[in-house]
Amino acid sequence: MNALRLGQHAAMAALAIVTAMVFVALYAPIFLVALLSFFRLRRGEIQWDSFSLQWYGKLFSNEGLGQALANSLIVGFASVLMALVLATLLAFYVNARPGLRTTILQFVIFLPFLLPPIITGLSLLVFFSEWGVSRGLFTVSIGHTLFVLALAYRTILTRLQGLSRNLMEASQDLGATRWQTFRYILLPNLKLAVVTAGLLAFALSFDETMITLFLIGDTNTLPIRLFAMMRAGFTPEVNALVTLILVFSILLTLVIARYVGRGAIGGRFRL
Amino acid sequence: MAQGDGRLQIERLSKNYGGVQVLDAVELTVDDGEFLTILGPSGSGKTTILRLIGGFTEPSGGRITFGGSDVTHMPIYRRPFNTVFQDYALFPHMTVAQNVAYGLVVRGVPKAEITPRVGEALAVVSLEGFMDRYPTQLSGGQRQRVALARALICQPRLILLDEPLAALDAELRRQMRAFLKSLQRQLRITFVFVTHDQEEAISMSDRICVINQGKIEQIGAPKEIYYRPATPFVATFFGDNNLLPGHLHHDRRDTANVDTPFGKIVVRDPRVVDLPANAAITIAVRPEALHIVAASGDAATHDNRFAGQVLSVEFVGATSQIRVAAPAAPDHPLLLKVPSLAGESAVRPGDQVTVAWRAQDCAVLPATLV
Amino acid sequence: MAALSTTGRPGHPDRRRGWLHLFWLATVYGIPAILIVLPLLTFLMFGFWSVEEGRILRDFSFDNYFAFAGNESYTRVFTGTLFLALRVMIINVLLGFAVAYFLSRLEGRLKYALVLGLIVPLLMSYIIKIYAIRGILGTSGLLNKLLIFLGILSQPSDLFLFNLTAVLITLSLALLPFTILPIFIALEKIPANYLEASADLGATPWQTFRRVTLPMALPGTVVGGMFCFVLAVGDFLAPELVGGTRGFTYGRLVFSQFGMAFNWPFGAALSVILLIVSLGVIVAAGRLGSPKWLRQ
Repeated sequence: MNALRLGQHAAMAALAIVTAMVFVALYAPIFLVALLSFFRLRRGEIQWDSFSLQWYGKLFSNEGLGQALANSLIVGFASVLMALVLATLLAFYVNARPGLRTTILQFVIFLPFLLPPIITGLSLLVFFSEWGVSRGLFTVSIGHTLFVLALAYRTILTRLQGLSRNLMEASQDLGATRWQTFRYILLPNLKLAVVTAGLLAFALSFDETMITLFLIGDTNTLPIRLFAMMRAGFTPEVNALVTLILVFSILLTLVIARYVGRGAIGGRFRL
Repeated sequence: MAQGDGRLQIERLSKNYGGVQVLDAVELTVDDGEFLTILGPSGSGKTTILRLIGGFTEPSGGRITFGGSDVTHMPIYRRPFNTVFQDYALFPHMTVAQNVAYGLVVRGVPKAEITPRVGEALAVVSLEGFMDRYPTQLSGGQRQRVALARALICQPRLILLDEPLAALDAELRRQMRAFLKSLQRQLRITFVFVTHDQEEAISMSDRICVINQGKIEQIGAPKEIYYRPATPFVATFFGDNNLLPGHLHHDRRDTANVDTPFGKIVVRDPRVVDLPANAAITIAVRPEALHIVAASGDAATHDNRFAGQVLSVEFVGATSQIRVAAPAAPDHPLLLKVPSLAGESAVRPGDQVTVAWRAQDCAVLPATLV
Repeated sequence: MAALSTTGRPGHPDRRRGWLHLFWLATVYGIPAILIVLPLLTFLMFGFWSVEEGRILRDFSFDNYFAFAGNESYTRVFTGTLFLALRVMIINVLLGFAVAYFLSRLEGRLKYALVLGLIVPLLMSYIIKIYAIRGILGTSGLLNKLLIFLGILSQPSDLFLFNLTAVLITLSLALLPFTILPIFIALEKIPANYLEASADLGATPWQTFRRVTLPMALPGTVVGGMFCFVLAVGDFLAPELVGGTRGFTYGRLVFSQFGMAFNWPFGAALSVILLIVSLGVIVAAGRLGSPKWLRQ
């Protein structure tokens, strides 16, 4: 009996070590990048006396970067808006009419999310060029809309299915029209799901690189610009930019976690 | 473990969760083959007792022995008990047959032996045709019987049941009650049954253990608990009771006079022998033991009587509830339950009536009312 | 106002709802059909065409597929990439399960903090993760330093950058959060009383883990593994950034057809093969991920 308990403790200790190692492996590279945006590296050694913010300063004088950031924001907002409208319509439709047709529809919506991004990107590239649509922010926004659609749809549908049918019936029983029921009962209940979906979609769009690469043409979004800079090598300027984007990503994650609340992230998890 | 003796003994068992005393020095013995019900309101600690016996929770103090050997800190899977969980906890990824076989499979029983035993266990609960169904494909009553078969298959000496009937509808609950009782008699396994439903407890148990706020209030046979409640809590938790405060005057051995707001009341309860003279006590009289009699009625059959005014008459189905107040004690209206009969009721609010009852229908509680 | 109060009136509101309904149907089916299905079909067609002197020749033939199957350097890259993705998946499912299981056993604030710590890298830009990992892989990188410090290596090795090992390490690390989270969610969904019931019936902790926890977490694990495989097999960013010339993968082969080689039809044919592999994995995962007992 004691041997068994000892074995259990040993197993948990081993798992704790594995987990600790995984967390170190996930975070060490990122911290190193952040560190190297402030300090210089010489022969693989960090020069601790070389603290400087000069690389951050250089970023602000880089004009292409500002344009790339603006483009990323435009694409992000446009695709989030389109995806939310489409996802809401889809969620209502699927919720109202479960069956084979909607199962197939769901599968199709999920394809751009599940398939390797290279396939989504390429198929849209070929499609747009066949129809003579020139590449640019418009085509990228369409690509992002499709990419984030599945996640937005799923988030809204889950909430919709969680709503009791009684709620709608009670509203109609009290004399509300369909529109009034939608406006006063459904919408307030869906608000959180829609905002969550929007934040997640924006985070995905803001970081999307592979689909964008095929659809962007000759302008830039932030990740595309970064990709070009990274191919050139490991430079302090890239480190500074990467650090800024990381801080932004972390803040966005915290906001999402805050918004979704402990109910979803802590305690019992549901996605 | 001793072979013959399957007695479960709980000694000074305590449990506190973060400073809150959920169980306080509970003492309880369950005999081999007994059907014992732990009864209490929600939050009384009754499920905690069950979880401590089953080994799901570690006690803060005290000891649990079974057949003479200490099982207090024995891991769950070594205990010779099995549990029927409140929501059954049937493994959703296993069929009915796999669920029932589970206890044998994990003990490494050969396959050739498992199949017939699963068949037998399912036959006991009449679910032979359901072997390949998944739990989601069963009704509530069927799930509950699978849970029972799964607990029975390892031939435990003792089965713990945590409100197993709570999720069933009224009719099914009544059937399952009879089924459980006959099953327990037939297999002669000890049942420790937890419920908050007093009717369930009375109809099935050999003995009932009433628990409130982490303390045992009374242990005894159903009739004893019903007619001779030990505390005001037991007296009122089990159906309705009229509670009267009073002081004891010994007369003959088990008969005594009690001074109450109603005047002198004669009681006959063997427990008065142990009480000192002039002790502050409480009398409990069941509403169905009170009768409305003619003012000049037969005094021999009714030891106690008083005149009063009817306050209210309420029809509640099989019985009618009548409240009568005595001029001497207007703060203690008595509740009567009389059989309802078709037509106008015999008494109306405002009527002057005489209420009478027998001395042996009075239970003497060795405690004052709060 | 008057219109609002007379909702029961037949005819008029119904007709309006009819138009709305039609619009709804058109959006719900039309947009996915035009923007998802049609592009995939177009691109399927492209795979049967060819290119001559920079112009696309629209003659139906299987030449692109024969060209792929007949060229050993292509098929070697293909199988090499499949094995690479498979290895990434196996590593990540094993590591992911260990981490997810450990996290699911924790309680309170620590659990919340650690799970949040997993979501942060999940939402972090993919190329930034690759870039950061590349920073530790070089001969003077953190990984070499660590291995020398631990005495595993005596001198810096160039084994970790600009080859397939580098791609393997990078993909595993970058995709690990995608594997951990679905497994963790599956483990969290197992009610505690199943584990209690199992122990009650005599199962040792190990038996409970093997017979209850593991099968019940299987659907989530399959989903985590699928994400990992599909993302790894089609990826070209990680190989492009850390693979060098020796870390050539199928994704890069496809990508090059749309860049330097400029042979769209061949590139489309190559992606169709990738599409078939991915769909196969997705469908298989869908099957494994929703066993009979999970369906109502």
